[in-house]
Amino acid sequence: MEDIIFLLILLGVTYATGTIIEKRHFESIKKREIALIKKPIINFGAKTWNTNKKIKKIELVTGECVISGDYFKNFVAGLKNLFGGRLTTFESVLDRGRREAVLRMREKAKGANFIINTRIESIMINDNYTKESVPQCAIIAYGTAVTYE
Amino acid sequence: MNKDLEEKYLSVIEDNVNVGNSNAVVEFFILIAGIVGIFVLLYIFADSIGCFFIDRMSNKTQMQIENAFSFMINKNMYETTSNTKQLETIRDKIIPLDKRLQGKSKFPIYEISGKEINAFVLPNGTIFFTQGLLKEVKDEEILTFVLAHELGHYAHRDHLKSISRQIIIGFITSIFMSQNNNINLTIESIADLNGLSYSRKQELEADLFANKIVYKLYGNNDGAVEFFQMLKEKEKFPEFLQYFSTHPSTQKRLDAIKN
Repeated sequence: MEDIIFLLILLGVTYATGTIIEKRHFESIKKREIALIKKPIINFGAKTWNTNKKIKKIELVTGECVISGDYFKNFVAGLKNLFGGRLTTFESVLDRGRREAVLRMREKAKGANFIINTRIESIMINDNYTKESVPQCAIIAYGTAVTYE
Repeated sequence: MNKDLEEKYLSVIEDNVNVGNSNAVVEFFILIAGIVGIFVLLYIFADSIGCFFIDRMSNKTQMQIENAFSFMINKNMYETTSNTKQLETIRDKIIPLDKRLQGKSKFPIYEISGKEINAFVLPNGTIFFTQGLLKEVKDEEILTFVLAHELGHYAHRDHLKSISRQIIIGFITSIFMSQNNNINLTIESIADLNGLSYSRKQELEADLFANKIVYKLYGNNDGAVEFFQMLKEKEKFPEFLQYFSTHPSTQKRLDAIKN
């Protein structure tokens, strides 16, 4: 009985804190995305890049982000494991992670005109086979930043 | 960059299609309700199987199972006192009244220390009364009611039914168990809560059994009513908490035996 009350309190608290943190994170992501809307332009497709302009600098830019759901999200996802279906609580987590990683990459490439050949990858960095593993995800966005003279 | 494209980008930032717009709390409650529903069905299934076989079981098989489950009980640990002698004479009056109690256990009665008002029966028919109960209650009619209640559990084979249910439910929950400890805890708690409602049904049936016995012996059930009124004064729990309890609320039990 005490266990379940403790669990309910924990779930309530982590739901509240998780919601606040997520809301703030989304606000900050939106603000930064709007600020960066003009430059640099990202190009996801091309492997080769032809231009007549003189190029000043070419460099590798990366943005990384490791993100985890809160206790409540993990718990709901765990319950969903019994029935199956979309893990909606993790969708927002993955979205936050991806946008954060791309934003960090673009912030690193400040001043560049283009980021060409951008790729986004995700890795699980925890061990799935131990009991205490935390569901978490590392997302890396990388590309080549091109700056004109 | 032209204006249209810029507006398009802004709208992409504002309307996010990658995040589901369902509410996590609603989802949580739907999932919990789903698990509760599954367990209610499981209990109905397990109980119907258990009752089907146990009600048709012969007395010989019953004794064999009881002996297998009670090898741990040490009979020399408890002493008979003057209180238990009084109970034993009542017991000898009750047993001839019901066929289901004859030819099985000898129903030894012992007293154990403990301030709370309680009595219970072990799978082999050994009955225990707490000192708190024997101190509070001296009236013979009330003691008859309490003893008949415990014998009622035995007569209905409630001990065997609960064992069979635990085995079936334990087997099925072990399939559900995931790697996450807290999910396991939730499932176990839900299983326990559902089990309690069945146990309350058994308690009410044992009450009715005891009520019948008291009527046969004394012609009225004043003692039992008096006993429950005494319990009602002592208890402090509000009635709505009864879903978390193994026994029905005293008011309910009182209403049941009055009718």
